[in-house]
Amino acid sequence: MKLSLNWLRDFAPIPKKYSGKELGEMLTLHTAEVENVVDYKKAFDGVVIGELLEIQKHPDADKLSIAKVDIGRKEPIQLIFGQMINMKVGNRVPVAVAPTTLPAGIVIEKRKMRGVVSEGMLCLDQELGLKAEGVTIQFFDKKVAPGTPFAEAAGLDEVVLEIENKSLTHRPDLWGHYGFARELSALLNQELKPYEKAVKCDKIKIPDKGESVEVKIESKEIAKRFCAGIIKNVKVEESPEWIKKRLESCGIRPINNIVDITNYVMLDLGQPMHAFDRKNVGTDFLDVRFAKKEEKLETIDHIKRILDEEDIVISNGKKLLGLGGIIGGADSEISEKTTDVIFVAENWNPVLLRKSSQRQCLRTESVQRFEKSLDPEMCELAMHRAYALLLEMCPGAKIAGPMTDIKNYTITLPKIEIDFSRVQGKIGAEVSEKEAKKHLVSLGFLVEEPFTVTVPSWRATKDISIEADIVEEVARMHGYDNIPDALPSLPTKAPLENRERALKHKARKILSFGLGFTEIRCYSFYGEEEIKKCGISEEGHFKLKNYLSSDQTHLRTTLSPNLLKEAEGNLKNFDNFKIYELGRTYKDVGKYFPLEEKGLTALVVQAKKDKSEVFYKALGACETFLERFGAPKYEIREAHKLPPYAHPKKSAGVYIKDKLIGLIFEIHPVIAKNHSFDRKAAAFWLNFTKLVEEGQETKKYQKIPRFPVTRFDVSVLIDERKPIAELEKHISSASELISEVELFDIFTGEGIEKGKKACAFTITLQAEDRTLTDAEMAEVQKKVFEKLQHGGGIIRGLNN
Amino acid sequence: MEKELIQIREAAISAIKKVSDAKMLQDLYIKYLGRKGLFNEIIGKLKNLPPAEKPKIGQLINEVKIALTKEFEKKQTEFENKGLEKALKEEWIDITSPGAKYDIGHIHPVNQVGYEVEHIFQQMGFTIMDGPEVESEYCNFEGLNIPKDHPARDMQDTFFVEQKPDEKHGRLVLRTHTSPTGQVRALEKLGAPLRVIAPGRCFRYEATDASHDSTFDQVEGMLIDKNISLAHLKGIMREFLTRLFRKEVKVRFRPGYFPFVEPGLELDFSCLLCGQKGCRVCKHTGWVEFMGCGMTHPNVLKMAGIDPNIYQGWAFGFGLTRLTMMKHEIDDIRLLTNGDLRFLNQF
Repeated sequence: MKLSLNWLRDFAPIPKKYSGKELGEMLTLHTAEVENVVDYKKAFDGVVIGELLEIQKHPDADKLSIAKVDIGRKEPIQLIFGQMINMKVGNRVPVAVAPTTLPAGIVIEKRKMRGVVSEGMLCLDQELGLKAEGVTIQFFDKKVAPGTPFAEAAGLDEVVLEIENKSLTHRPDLWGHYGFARELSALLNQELKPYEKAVKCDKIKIPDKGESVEVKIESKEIAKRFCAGIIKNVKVEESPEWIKKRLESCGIRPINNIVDITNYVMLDLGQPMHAFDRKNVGTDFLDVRFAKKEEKLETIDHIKRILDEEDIVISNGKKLLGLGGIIGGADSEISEKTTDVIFVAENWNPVLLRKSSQRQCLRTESVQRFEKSLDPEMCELAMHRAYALLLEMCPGAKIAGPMTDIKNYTITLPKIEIDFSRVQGKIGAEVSEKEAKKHLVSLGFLVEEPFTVTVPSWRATKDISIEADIVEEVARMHGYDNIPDALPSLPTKAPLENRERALKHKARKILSFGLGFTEIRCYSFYGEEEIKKCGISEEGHFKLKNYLSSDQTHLRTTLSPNLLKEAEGNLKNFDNFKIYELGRTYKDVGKYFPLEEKGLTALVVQAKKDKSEVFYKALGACETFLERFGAPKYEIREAHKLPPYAHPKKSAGVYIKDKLIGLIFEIHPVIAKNHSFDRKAAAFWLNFTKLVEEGQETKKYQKIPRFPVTRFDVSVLIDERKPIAELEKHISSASELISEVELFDIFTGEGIEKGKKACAFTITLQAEDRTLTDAEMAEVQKKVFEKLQHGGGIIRGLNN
Repeated sequence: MEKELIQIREAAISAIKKVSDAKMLQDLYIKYLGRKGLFNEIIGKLKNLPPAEKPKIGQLINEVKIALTKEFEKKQTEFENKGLEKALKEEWIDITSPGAKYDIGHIHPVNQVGYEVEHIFQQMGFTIMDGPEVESEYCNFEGLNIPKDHPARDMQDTFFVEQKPDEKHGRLVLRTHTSPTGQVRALEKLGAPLRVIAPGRCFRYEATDASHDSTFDQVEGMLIDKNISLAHLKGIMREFLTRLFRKEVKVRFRPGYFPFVEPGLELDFSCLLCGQKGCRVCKHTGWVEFMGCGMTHPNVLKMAGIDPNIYQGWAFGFGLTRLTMMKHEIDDIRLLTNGDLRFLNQF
């Protein structure tokens, strides 16, 4: 909403010493957010009215003239101008006096033009940025003294404050200039003029008899108040300049005097109004009711609307005239032919109106106000104001009869008893009771001793009802800036630990800084396309009723689809990479709430030329992670149930206490293809919630051996499908002296019989109490060979 | 023989002194102390001496050998050092050539900032709480004093989940703020006094652009105790921001509106980029809009079964995503829910 400072001055004497910026800042800090301040006077700083005293040709330039110009200083200034517009001595025109900058960015400096000094510029409307096209200049008459600031002379002496509407959500009183004038007068310690007096509508004479409107309201819940009245002999024409200017500076397009009056009153008082052409209405009867199912109405915006039983309509008994409080019907619009007008000012049910406007996707200036629960006391004032304005504009117009006024409410102004020590305690600043009372009175509250507050009608509809609301009034008027800062004392009890969160941070450190994975954060949803690409079933998903795009329709039950999608995007720029996400999944488990679990999925995408088994990269990462994370003893073995995006053979489960807690898998080739993978990728997934629940093991110190170790290597040729774990078991069982068995190579292909593989191990021997002898080592070696041979292996480099 | 030994010693020492390179020294060593060198030759003669002289000459032999060995070693070290010195003078590497690559990953910037935030609040005695992201309409709205049809619901465009509404919980929604966890659930679970923050993911049904995304992170905070005032809110936030930015930060309150607080406030902090001189980031006001906050509405306390006549306090909620963007000068929010490694590798 835009506010004009001149308009505000109708109601409160706002001292000139405050700039628009200062007033904006004041409102921002005490009342509502001012988004922007436009000070037209400032914008034209340096442009004044000048009178041409003397004109002569430039000696060295045919197209230039030299003028002596009176700009209200002792001495006239000299400036050079072109001949785009014929200028005569005595003309009074806008002059930009050097040095200054015009709003359009033109810099005016004192300079020589062909040897003659020019101290400014005569300004065309185009140069001032007032008009986009053409070549025009404003001439001012003799009443305007040379030196008068241009903005003032041109009636541009205006400051417009732009208010952020969201910050008025709870303030029904601030939707017009009068409300803000009340705030400013309280803040500046100035008297606020009573509305009727300020706008001179207190002397309106409304006839006791004559023609009136009959209003019928179907149900009391529809409207608290409904005022209507007829004015005859109206002449529809353009509004006077001052009205147009004010409306325009507040961003409202002038239409005609009648419509402008309704808009003017809305911006003035904050009460929306509507005007009907009495002839188009046809009768003087207004039937206010709920719409019938699928009733149709064409509104002023020429949209044919289909209504719902909860929409409110105004009808003349036969045809619909408009959607109550939202928009008028196309049929009853004011036109040049209008001679008789019906003005209405209502107080609609805010909830019904809000719902209706949402259904119709129509948020008009009036709905925006009505939904805030306006003060019903304003309706009558608004009518009087509209009457007064119309009579002023059309002296021949006549109020046809008494005003119809239906009141479906009784005023009960809330009384709040104040415990001032609590008010003070909440604010935390030194505010005296006296000061608090003064602020409240200045805002229109009635304060009674010892301390009871009666809320004025304009704040009573919803805004203020309890002591906490009074705390706000006192605190903001005292000034939030005047509240000191203080730290509360710390409780002796330490805060509760959030173990899972601490472990999440630990997991990130291991994965990112230890294992070299990069964390990504994906959306919590995906769509049918992603589901299809991963081969998963739609079952078990919660779907969104309203969604923003087709890839955000289902709540994710697994992290993989989004992770693969992001991996696909990175293939363009990276040959190989490792990413992970630690995030939530949401599974439909047949209850109201989904099962929310935290999952960890890490993906290794291998370089294109790397043909090794990527599974082992994921396996190694997973094992190192679990070990570092402090996971309890786990087992990696075949998993019985695999997700469709896992390779059916190159997959394994991670088990803790026989419960499946994770998976390690190469991406299923079909799924990989779906994601345009032209290289191998594997992932590991851990149910992070469950992993945390299993607890963490504290590392126990192992004695560092005092005697040196002995090592030997063994290479064994064996069936390709013989599990390494089995070979390791064979080796370990050979002797108690074996402390470590490490596979360091697997080789197939050239030189190796088909269906076989060569596996090379380093075997470490260690005794706690002595250095082992060569003989002891030879003994163990022999046993290892035997065990391996017994298991079907051929020891390479040995005559088996 | 004694004479002979002394002669050898003198000759060797003077020869060593004259040596000018390592090869000569080596030759000299072989000549004197080599297997077939002069010295061994003399030792060979020892057996011909009368037994009485043997110990004396033996000792001398030892002394001479030690002395010569020392001289040789000394000279040897001299040459080695010279060699090193020479090499040091000649050696060169290109220090502008890149260092070895280490494959270290990255933690997502939102989680890096999130960790710092949690850490600071923990130090100030706040418990960190988690709650569901798929939330009941009750916890997301009613429990926060936002009844049905309240205009404030427009401020938070909501995603609804396809689920039969529950009598107690209402419809199932994606939480539009972390307030249901940080306020409603925290109050119900932990009661008063309470000091808690709830960081987490939130969702809004609003069109996506460079500064709006359907998904973002927020940190909700609440402090309920006896005698807690707005001054404490100012103090805690100033302390938090000063620690986070490691620079003295000023904060200011402005009126704001949120149904779950009364008075309702907006909190701005002093623009650190321009030192409050005015810049693009603070829109030339010197202040950066940071969060909504205020004194907890008595209705919120009452609904959680806490007596607002005994306990009072405040709540706040700020955007962790926005804070991350401010900290790292990220100009497009969508980069944060996009796995582009060209972006993530920067943090």
